[in-house]
Amino acid sequence: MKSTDIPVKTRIKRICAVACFAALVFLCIFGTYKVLKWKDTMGEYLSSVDMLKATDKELIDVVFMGSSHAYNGFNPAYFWEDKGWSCFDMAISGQDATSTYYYLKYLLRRQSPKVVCVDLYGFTFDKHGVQGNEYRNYLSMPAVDLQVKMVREYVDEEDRQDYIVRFPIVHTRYKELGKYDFYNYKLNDYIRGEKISWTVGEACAPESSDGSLSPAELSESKVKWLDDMYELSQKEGFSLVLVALPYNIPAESQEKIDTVSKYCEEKGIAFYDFNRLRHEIGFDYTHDFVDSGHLNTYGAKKVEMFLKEEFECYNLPDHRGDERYYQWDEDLEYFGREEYKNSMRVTDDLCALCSMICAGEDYVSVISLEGDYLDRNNVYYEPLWILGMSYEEYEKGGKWIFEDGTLTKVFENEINADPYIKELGDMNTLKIQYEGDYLFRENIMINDESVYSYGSFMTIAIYDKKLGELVSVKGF
Amino acid sequence: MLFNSIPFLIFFPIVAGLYLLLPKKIKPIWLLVASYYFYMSWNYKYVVLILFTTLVTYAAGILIGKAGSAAKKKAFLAAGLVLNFGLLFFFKYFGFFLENVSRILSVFKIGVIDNPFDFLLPVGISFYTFQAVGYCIDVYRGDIKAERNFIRYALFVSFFPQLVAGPIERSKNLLSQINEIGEKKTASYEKAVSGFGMMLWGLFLKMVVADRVSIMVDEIFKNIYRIGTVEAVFGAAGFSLQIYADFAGYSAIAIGAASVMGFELMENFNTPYFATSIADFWHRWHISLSTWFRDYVYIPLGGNRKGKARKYLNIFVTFLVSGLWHGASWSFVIWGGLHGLYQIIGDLLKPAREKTGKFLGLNKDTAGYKVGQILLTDLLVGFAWIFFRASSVKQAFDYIGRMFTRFNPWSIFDESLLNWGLDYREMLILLFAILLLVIVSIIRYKKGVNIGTFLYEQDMIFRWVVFVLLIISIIVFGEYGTDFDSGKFIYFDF
Repeated sequence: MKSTDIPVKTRIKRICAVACFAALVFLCIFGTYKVLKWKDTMGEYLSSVDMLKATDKELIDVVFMGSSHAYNGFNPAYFWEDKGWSCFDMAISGQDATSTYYYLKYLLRRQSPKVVCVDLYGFTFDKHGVQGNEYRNYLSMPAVDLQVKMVREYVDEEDRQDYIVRFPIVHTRYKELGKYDFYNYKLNDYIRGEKISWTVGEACAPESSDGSLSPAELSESKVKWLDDMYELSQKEGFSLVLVALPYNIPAESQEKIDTVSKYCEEKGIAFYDFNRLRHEIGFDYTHDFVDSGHLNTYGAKKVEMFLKEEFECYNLPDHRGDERYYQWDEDLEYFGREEYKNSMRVTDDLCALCSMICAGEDYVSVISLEGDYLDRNNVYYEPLWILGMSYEEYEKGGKWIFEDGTLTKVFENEINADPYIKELGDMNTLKIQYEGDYLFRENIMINDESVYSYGSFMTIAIYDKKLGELVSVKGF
Repeated sequence: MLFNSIPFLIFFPIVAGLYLLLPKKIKPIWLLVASYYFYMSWNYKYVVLILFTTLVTYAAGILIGKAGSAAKKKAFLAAGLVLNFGLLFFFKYFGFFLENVSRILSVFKIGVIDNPFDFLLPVGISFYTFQAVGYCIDVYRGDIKAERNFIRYALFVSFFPQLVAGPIERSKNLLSQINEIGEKKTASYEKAVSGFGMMLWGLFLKMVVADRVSIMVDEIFKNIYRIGTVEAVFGAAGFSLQIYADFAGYSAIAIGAASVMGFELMENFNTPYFATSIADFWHRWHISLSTWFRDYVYIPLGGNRKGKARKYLNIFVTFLVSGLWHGASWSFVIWGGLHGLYQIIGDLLKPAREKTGKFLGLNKDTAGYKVGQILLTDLLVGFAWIFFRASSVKQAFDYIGRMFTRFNPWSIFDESLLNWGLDYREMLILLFAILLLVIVSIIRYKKGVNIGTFLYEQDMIFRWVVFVLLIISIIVFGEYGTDFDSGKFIYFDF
């Protein structure tokens, strides 16, 4: 049969079939990519790109760019609480200079910030030492044109194709898929890019930052990057601010920062080297750092205190009360919950903990009394009285749930009794059962994880309904 | 440009799409340009070699066709063969030849001869040389007429789907199809759909099966002094699977790609591990090469027409040459020799086997008997593969030695097999893929059609589901990209 002999109807049918098949394949590949794609830009499924996408256009006034130094050191919630400025951390772990430039260009497609504040840690190295950081930076860019450009600029030629097509790298993630590859991580929608960490770690003051400036010659690519950033600021009309957040900076990196300092002076760019300013600001190296490289939330507060004064000159508007900025309100609320969570975690005082449970909103707390707890001279009773427990109930023992201001007994300590099951939102299930006194780890479970304090007469497990996570498990 | 690479993913749709749309006169030129581009993507310098082979065999064909006497024909054929095999010898066997001459000389305490040339083996040289030489012999025998159109002949030698690893086509099949371009419609919806299915199946075999099992096989062969009986058997069985999935996968993509453009290439694999004897195995494994050796070596040597002793000698010589074709190394020669010996011994023992079977009351028509034959054949084939896989004859014998060392059957159950590069999850994926391979092989065995044709005959929904599942499996579970270096298809080295 010649091609012309094929009936027109059959031809049309076949063309439609091919088109439908192509569409189906495309959809399946797209769906597969959504599951496999690199989602993690901060190591906890928190992606500043996702947060940016979830933010309405033209709302951000101040952008902080940089690596983990930036998302630890710049806390938009502090700026919002104090000044009402809409700040955003466009930060990615290990964000290098090339990546900073292109992510800024991406942000400028949706936002017109008045100030762009860039931490210079990414400027001090040429290539990533951690493969994961390379993936985070070069596989998270949603804009194809910018991704191709940044990959061409940074990635070695033989690997470029893999980065641009992405599947050759991300397909191996089938080995590590977790639940958040299939569900959206809820927090992405409203936190503003910061990482909140209350951990206090050991840090050293950088000796290389003492004394006079010791600028070194910069490579051509570094100078070009500075020029490109400056030109971009002129073209897009934002004020460029370059900063070096404090960390134990090596001498070689400090020399580069000193050179940038001179460059900024020549160009009239605002520049702050927090290592050199550390005495003025009063960083406490035994309290304000997570580790020798990163500030904690206490340290971030000191950065905010300094910058809010410096940024006054940009006449940034106060957006508090404006409904369009609800994400900043939610961010502050989230920050508040994190602060509360931290207080509950750090306290060893049972009375204080019960008071916090009583005062907190949107928590589910499980209280368990087992074994010979009555031999402890009623040390548990007084705190539980705060939650509304009678002495009769206390004497019987068992397991209670405190939720929305009400204490409810949900389980007697009976072996072989049917477990008590409670759904905690869409993702988690609480299971309470009794396998024996205080030495059986599986008496309180969330999903398949024990939230039971092994070896304690009394366990208190606190779950935050709003954050969808376990806050604390305490044994007394 | 590998079939399982992004450049081919771009190259093929453009070439095939334009080929189907272009005017008839341009089609062969377009395919020739695409084929040369495809070949040059490996190493542009070696285009000279394929051009040389094409010119020599094209001229030889015309001269043989025109020659008035048998002697002249023979002379032209001989010239064509000498020039082509000479080139192949120079690039593939010269180093091996010098190495062995040096070894002999060193016995007599005469100095070693260093190889002054350090060439990379031009990809596909064994394949296109055999294809072009086969054409000359066909013209000499009068089976076909000499091709006068150079473009079409050059396309026959360089047709990109089968250029670098076969199937080694016969002029009667492929050249005649090339000559039909423009005269009658060759491409069809049916061929395109079944060809697409073949390509997907080939990619699945290569990327999900072969390259996955190769991780374990490579690890075992790299550490042969650590392995015991169980690991050695698993390694050998793994390589049997790897080489089949690799080469059958390549052939399926080649046949499928040609089919999408309307060409029918010869079948290269027909469920070889379902063979009931070694002879049967060679009717099913690398069919285009085994029939080439049958037609152009075994039969001209006299085949089975000159008595039993001569027949055995012919079989043995043919398989030794076949071994050498696969690689310039004694381990390949031994591998070929083993297959020759298997057949000779099998033939010699035939009366004794039949008598024993009668004595034991074995019924040849039962499934159990057949399964026994299949298992025995696979055992022999698998044993011979050790020589094929080993980097030297010594390593092969060492490996065989490990099969009789540290016999610990418990290692099958104690998860220690998961320490050879494939963890539990990877092993599970491999087992699923093998299950699918067995199902497809049974379909092929029972129905006599390849997977592409079988799928075309199914209803559209089923076909689409299979296609989509294959695509997603390849994308997700295929071994490719960063952190994976599968190298290439095993047969590219031949």
